Amino acid sequence: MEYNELEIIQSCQKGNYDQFGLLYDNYIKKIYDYLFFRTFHKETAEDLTSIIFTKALENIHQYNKAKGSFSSWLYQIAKNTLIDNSRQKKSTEDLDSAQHVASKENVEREISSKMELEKVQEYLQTLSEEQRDVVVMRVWDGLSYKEMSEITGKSEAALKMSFSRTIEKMSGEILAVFILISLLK
Amino acid sequence: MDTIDKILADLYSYDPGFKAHETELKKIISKLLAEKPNTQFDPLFAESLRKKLLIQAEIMEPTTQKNFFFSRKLSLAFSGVLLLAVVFLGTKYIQQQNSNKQTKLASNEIFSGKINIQNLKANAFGKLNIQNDGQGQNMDTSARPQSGGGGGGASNATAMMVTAPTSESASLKMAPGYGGDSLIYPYKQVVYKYKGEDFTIENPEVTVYKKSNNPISAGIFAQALSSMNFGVFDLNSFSNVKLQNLSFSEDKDFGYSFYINMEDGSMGISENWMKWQTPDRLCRDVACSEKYRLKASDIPADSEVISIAEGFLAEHGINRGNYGEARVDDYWRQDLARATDPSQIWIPDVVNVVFPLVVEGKTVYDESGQTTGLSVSVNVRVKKVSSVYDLSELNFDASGYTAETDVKKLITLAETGSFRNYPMPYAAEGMTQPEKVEIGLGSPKIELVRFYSYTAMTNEQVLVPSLVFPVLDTSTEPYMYYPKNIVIPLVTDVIQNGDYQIMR
Repeated sequence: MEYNELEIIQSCQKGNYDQFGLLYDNYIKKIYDYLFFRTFHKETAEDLTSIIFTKALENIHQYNKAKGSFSSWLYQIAKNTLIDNSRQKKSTEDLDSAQHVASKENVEREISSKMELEKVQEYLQTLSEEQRDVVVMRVWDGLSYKEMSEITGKSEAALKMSFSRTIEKMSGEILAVFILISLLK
Repeated sequence: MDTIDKILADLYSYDPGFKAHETELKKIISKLLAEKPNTQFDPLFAESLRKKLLIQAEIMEPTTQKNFFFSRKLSLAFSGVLLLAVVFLGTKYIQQQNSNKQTKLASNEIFSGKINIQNLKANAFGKLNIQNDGQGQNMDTSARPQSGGGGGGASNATAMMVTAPTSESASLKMAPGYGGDSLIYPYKQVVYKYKGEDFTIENPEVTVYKKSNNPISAGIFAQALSSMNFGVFDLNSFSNVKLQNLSFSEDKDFGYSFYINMEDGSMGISENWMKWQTPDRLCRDVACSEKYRLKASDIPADSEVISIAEGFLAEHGINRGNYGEARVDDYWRQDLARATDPSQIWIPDVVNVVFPLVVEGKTVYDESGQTTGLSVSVNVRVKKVSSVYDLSELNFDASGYTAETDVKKLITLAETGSFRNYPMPYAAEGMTQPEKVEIGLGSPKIELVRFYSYTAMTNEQVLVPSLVFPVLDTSTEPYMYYPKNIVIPLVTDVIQNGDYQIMR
């Protein structure tokens, strides 16, 4: 069956909430990944994902296509939920408690992966929150500037400027970091 | 066009000057993409969440922008919302009362009424941090009926049924719940001895069940909450307000109060205390209380009490399908049988009926060896049900855990009376040694035992496969208390957790 998002949403808004499963299937990984890239903590990302999709289901009748895409609407819920969550928690996740369930067979690989993650995360922490968010949204989340604009409320031009300046800044600094990461492998 | 090219195209469209640095930019973006973390997306988690959402979707009432009761711009007084609550939920109850069982609302109006089990990967719950919950007393902080005429918030009251102490507590101690001549003296030490058949534990892995919280969607109340102004303060000026619990009551003689915890989906029914003013409750002195004191002969037979309980459940659409054969908690009879002066034993006016929960064919026990599940209390003065608790949607996550297969170890633990290795009583040198009383244990069966796994923020109910050894040679000898069963968990994690400092 061809996925027609607008039809599915309209069907949900008429009370056929079972159709929500189709929307869920299309966005579950994207939203989970979005949350993971900002929390670096699997369990937190899962908890927040549950909250977000519950909110989306309960409020699907409020979505208005004239105000933006469904994708952006969903990401906005994710962003706001993340903000609420961060207010209740420490700003920096404890990396020791984050991440992988230890695999006895791949302990070395797990440690190496965690170190790389720490390095990447440490570098990203040196960027401002706005710069970090723009880079992660563009490169890791794979969102378009249009979607980013709808999510953040900033203009596409402003987002492009932010991204380009960040990339410029990174050109000298991050290469050094990545060389270090390569040496650690 | 691949991802890198798309990103570069955006940059060039913004500032063509970037093209001069294309090689370097490609390196940076490639590295960023390469260092993208593995998010460990778990398909089982996704599947589990999907099922929960679709269950919620099934019970959601259609709400569109056109049929909101309340506009976002309107401010509402609290009485308006209360009216809504009474209409929405009270209507359902009134319909049940008047239905003559012909147009009875299905018990799955809010919930499905079935046990739902989501299978997860092994050890999905992590380390089971099971603490001593006080000899089987109910540490559940979900909905408990309020005997004081309603009010919000979950109560931490212990279960009404008081279980007999286990062997390790057979020292100088007051019998639970009663005064008078109930001291256990002279001192005796129970020693359990396995007398059952040989058995083996075949399966190296057993399934542990963890009860899920089942938040109830606030539905139309969410909309109402978002636009309320009480007059005294404007709720609309706050953000992310959500409904946590609901309580309401029948305003009539022997009416009931209802409590719903919206966050974990638990519910309770209790007497609306102000409307249950039997003469004994008006007493203000000992003489009056003595006048209404019950005798053992005043308590109906178990069959009659169970019949009252079952009738209430049937009349009010409470699904019994997940529960086994009812039993009456008759601890007071045991106390009466053992007391040297029966006149000192206070006969309760409320008798508890337990409908044991059954999950995938296994009966659920508590740690003291009693079956546990749905609790229905019957007021024997008026022969009416006075409360029902442990009502909730029965959703569980299931996960495999390593089983203890060393039968000798399991029997040894059973013979100590508990897997928790409580300190064995002893007498100091020169003092009279306690008389040892040998009590037999029969062949065990594998059932489920309810424990609580504690985290920093909450406790979670887990059902752990366990060996249930029936206690043989029950006696009504004065001062002797022991449980009906000794339960020994089969999960190695739980057994190890139960270690207590042994003082010998």
